[in-house]
Amino acid sequence: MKGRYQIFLTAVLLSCFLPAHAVTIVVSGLPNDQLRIRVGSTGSGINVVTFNVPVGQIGNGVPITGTPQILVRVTARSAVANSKTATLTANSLTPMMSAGGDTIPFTTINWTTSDGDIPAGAFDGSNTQSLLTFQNSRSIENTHTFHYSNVNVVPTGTYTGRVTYTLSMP
Amino acid sequence: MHTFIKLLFNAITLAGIMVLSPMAMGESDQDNACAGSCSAQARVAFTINVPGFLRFQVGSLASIDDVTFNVPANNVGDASVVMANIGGDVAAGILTAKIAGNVGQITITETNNGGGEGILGTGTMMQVTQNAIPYTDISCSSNDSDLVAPSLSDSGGNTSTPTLQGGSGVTQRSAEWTYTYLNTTVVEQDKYSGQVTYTATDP
Repeated sequence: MKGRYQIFLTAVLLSCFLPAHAVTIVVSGLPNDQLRIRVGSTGSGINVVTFNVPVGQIGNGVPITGTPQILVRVTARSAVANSKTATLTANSLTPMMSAGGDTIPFTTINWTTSDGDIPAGAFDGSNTQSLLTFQNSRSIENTHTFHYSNVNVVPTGTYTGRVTYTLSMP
Repeated sequence: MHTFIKLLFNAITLAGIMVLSPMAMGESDQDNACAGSCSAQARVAFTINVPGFLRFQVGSLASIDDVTFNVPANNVGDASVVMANIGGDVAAGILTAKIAGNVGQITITETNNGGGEGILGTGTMMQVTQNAIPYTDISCSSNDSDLVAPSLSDSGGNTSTPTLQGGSGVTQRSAEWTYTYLNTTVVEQDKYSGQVTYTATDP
């Protein structure tokens, strides 16, 4: 946007042939600080990443890749004169649970990424795991592929749970 | 002047798009015009589907082990324990026992082909009364108390329950089962043969 404003200013000066006076451009209507986060594909509701463990591989240590891949996009904006640091965190404290009450912790889930903008990693089972910090104003995104480590034999069942991503800025 | 207005309009429009562009769908959130600290949240759900399984092994994987006891003539029926001479994947009379599953408490049940009569003498098959050795004279001990064999019986139906892992619905146990002949009864000279089947079932 800075480049566009520069071109605009130059065009105004050239086209108007103004005398040697200062030109003030007032850009109004923009909000103050702004944050935006998106996790998942287009469509409504919460995306669900599903892992199907083959019966012959339960607990054998061969990771299971989940589908679909998940887009994670974070945007943070603040005034240039008041630049801030935005932080993306994950809350994976509550383990996945089956109808029978058995649990699988989120520490068994890790992810790879389409690039290094948001680093690859693994959930640590805490409620404030730092994933990314960046100076605004920026928009960062990449695609995450999740993997279940499958290192333990667990009781049969369908285990479900959620991770909450939080983008914050002081 | 016209050019100035046009360019100015375009500039404002672009800025408006930056601020007011439609929110992408999926789980998303935004915090606009926040003064002070800001935060926005989005969630993703995870589902892991784990099917049930049960695996059970006693002895060799590809064949039925034939455990044989040769009782010395001078010891018939004197209660001296007779070790196996042949048969067993670990050693004579010693078989591997493995059980694994994630379906809750497993039960192992013993049955046999003796029709309730015991281990039958093959040399007296055509007789009205066949020679027989009771299955209770075959003892099986385990080197792991978490995986023991059910006691053998002529009628069959005795059970044992492998210990679950930490109270969960998962079982992963391995042991060696050793068979001996207790030799408590003087029986007629004969070759006695029978087959035991162990069946593992989930609840």
